[in-house]
This record gives sequence, structure tokens and C-alpha cells, in this order.
Amino acid sequence: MMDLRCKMLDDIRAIEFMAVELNLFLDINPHDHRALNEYNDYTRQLHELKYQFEQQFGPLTNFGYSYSLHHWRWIDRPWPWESC
Amino acid sequence: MEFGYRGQYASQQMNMDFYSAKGGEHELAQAYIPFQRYVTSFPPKEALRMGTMFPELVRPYHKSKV
Repeated sequence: MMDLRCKMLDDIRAIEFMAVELNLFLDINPHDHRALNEYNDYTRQLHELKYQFEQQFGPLTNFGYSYSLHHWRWIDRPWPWESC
Repeated sequence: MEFGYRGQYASQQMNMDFYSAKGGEHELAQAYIPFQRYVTSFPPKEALRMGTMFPELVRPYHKSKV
């Protein structure tokens, strides 16, 4: 049984992959409206998923890409790439 | 002011002769890539597993029997 943290990371990975794929497609076909709509839709989902994850499990990135409220959470384990 | 070097530049015919002597009737390779059309995509989890969201681009590696 997969815990919530790992499940959320899996969702983030899958949605981010769709954004990468559509990004690459749009580089070659910038006027494809369907691809553009889907890219924006996945981007919105990705922001939401990352926000939800970071609220519960701490920052996914550092160097100014994620907030760390209340205390410095970056040094709290597990790091995003650990134990899943 | 003229730019260039003092030697001789090849003519088109010289190059054609060179390649026809080397390769017989074969021509140099030319890359051709058709534009991809967006038809359909895998859902996210499956896309990640397949390595592409485009079903027409699935290129699985198979273990060699050698």
C-alpha cells in the first residue's frame, strides 16, 4: 500500500511529464490549439499538485523556487527524491 | 576587399564527379522528418511508463537474445 506522499509524487511526475511532452510538441507545432490548451491545463494541475504536496510534505525545490514557511524545511528528511 | 583563399574552389561538377566515383549510383543521405500531427495521447501515468505521451512514438527496447 503506497503512502500518500509517494502517491502525490507519482502524480506530480506523471503530470510534469505530460507538460514536458506537450512542451516539445509545441516547440515544433506552436499553433496547435488543442496541444496548447492541454499544456495549460496540465500546467495548472501541476501547480496545484505541487502546492498541495509542499503544504503537507515540505519544499520540492530550493534556491527560491519553493517557499519554506515557519521554519527551514529543506533540511527535514525525507528529501523529495528519498524513500518512495 | 575580397575575401577567400588563393587556391581553387571546386565546381559543382567536380563534387558530383567525386561522389559518383565513390558511391556509384547512390546519393548522399538526406534526412526527412514529417511533421507530427496531434491525434491522441496516453493518459499521464501510462505516458510516463511508455516514455512518450504519443502512441505513434512508442519505441520499446527489447532484450537482445545474443
